[in-house]
Amino acid sequence: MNHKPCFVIPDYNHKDAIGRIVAALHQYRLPILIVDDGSEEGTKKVLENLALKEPLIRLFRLDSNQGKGAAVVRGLEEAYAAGFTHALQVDADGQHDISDAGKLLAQSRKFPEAVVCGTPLFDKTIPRGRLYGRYITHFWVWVETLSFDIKDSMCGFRVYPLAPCIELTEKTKLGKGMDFDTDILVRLFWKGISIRNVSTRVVYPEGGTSHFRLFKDNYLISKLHTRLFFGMIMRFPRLLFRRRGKHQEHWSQRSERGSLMGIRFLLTVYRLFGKYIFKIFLVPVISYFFVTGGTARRASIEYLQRIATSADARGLPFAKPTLANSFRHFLSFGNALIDKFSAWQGDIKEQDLDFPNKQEYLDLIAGGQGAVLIGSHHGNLDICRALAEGIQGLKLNVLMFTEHAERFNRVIREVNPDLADDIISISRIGIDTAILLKQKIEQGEYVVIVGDRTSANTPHRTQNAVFLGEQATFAEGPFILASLMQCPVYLIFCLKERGKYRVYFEHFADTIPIPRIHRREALQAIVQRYADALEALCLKTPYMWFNFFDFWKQPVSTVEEKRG
Amino acid sequence: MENLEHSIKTLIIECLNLEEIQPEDIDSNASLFVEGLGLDSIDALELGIAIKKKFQVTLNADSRETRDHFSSVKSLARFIASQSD
Repeated sequence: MNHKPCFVIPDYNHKDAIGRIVAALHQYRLPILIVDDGSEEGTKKVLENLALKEPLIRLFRLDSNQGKGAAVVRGLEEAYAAGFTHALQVDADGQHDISDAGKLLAQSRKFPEAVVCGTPLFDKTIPRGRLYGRYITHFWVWVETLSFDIKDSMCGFRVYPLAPCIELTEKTKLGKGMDFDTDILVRLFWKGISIRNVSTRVVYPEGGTSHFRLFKDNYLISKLHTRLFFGMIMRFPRLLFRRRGKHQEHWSQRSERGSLMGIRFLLTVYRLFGKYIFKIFLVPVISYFFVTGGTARRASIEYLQRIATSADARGLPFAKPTLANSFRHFLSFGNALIDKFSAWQGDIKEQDLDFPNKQEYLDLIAGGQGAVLIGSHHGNLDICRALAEGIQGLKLNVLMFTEHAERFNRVIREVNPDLADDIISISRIGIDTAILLKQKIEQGEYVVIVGDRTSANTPHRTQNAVFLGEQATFAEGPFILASLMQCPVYLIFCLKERGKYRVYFEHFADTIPIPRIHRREALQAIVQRYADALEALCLKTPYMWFNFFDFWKQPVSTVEEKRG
Repeated sequence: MENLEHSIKTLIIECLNLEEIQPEDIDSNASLFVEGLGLDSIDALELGIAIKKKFQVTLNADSRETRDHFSSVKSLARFIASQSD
């Protein structure tokens, strides 16, 4: 593809910085198309004089002020008509760092089909309110594109490939004002144009005039996102298809970055707008996961099938394993996510909990005896944090099956710095962890661990148990841990039933003895008891099962390769 | 110190049922985990509890440097000896 770029600058009443911008652009020896957006006399004169002095400038003038978008479009059209293939847009207020233009142009030369977007690194001059506003737009753009490809849709410092832009402007009425930058970028993305991001420093110029009008522009931007949101709904299948193709390229990278970024931003939305608005965001997001997540969807349907078979055999009522019910299963996961955020935030209080055998729990705590609490991915363990809240000195040590425990910890603590729980990653367990945990138990603290995930670090330390009619693999680690602590063991689950959070707190054993001989059999019997308890809950509240993978086809333990 | 190292080695073998290994086979300087003896996190749990029980070790929960004390038999012996001082 040919690469013949020029600069396009829309200018409305910016006369102070434009001279400096043109001087800085001079070094690139590329034509500079300035579109005077009906500026007042002073700026008009400055531009005309500048054009006389700098032969690279080609000046165009709109008779009346039409808005930034209209001015940029005029510039792009003029550039295309003059035979240019690409245009680097620069704002006239001086907030862009011209020395980065070279970086952007180089990327554009390398990826001529793409839009190369400057993503701003703000310094301290940015007003805080503006920053939050940007986050809201980021979120919307991600929803509208169903992708994290566009990092910043509002920064006007970007290189456009002209042919697709002209095609777009001829067919579509784009936002004419401040909404233009986001509008054109999302629509180019929809057309299949790829996005390259290049970070660049942005300064809010001191004393500079900004034409951002609080009410009018916010109104325009809200209108824009409403339009784009429905545009996304209409393009849903195609956008999903596009994402899928990309997934196959570098799935691992994307999913990890995506999920951490996703969590952070969902959290921001939750904090800014609260639970109910969040729910509105959630439906398209969950729909998206439902349609694209083939593996998860199949696992869900297969799980519902097992529930149906087991429930039927026992004469219990059950939901049919249909697509509609699988979607309900997914939605339930989405709602659990909201509950998790609420719990981290400390919004779920003790009075929101329905806790039938609360007395047993209080007695345990009053006795000063520590315990191991074994939970699961059935229901929402995070809600149980609310239990700890009202009780002085109760401390939870949560063992997590994630490599990202520390980062996860950080995100949670950003939300609620008061959370006293200690989160320990399974992958960091050492001799010292065992000694510390035992000390903590002796001091009356609690250790929380889930029993239904196998650890990637100890893939052979598993036991098979019959679960919903078939052998499934469970980790033995949590039960060995519970045994070593020589303390009472309880099962703990929190399920949402009819709008209330119901806490199941069940005595599992006073201590778990694991003899040296017949060790395997003893462990197996314990794991089977756990699996039975889990099964009973699954039959009762099938949609609260949040293991969206084929639970029955995990590597079955055969030989212990690690030893020897 | 050598006696202490020997009894730690015996404890490791007993605790983890490493029947085919003799105390002399364990290198005091070698890492217990990953390379060396190749113990995993569950072994670590079992060993930790056994060491706590036999030598009455206590740890300062706030200290983050405890990990280094448990990397090899030698460092373990040094740590246990320092506790009984």
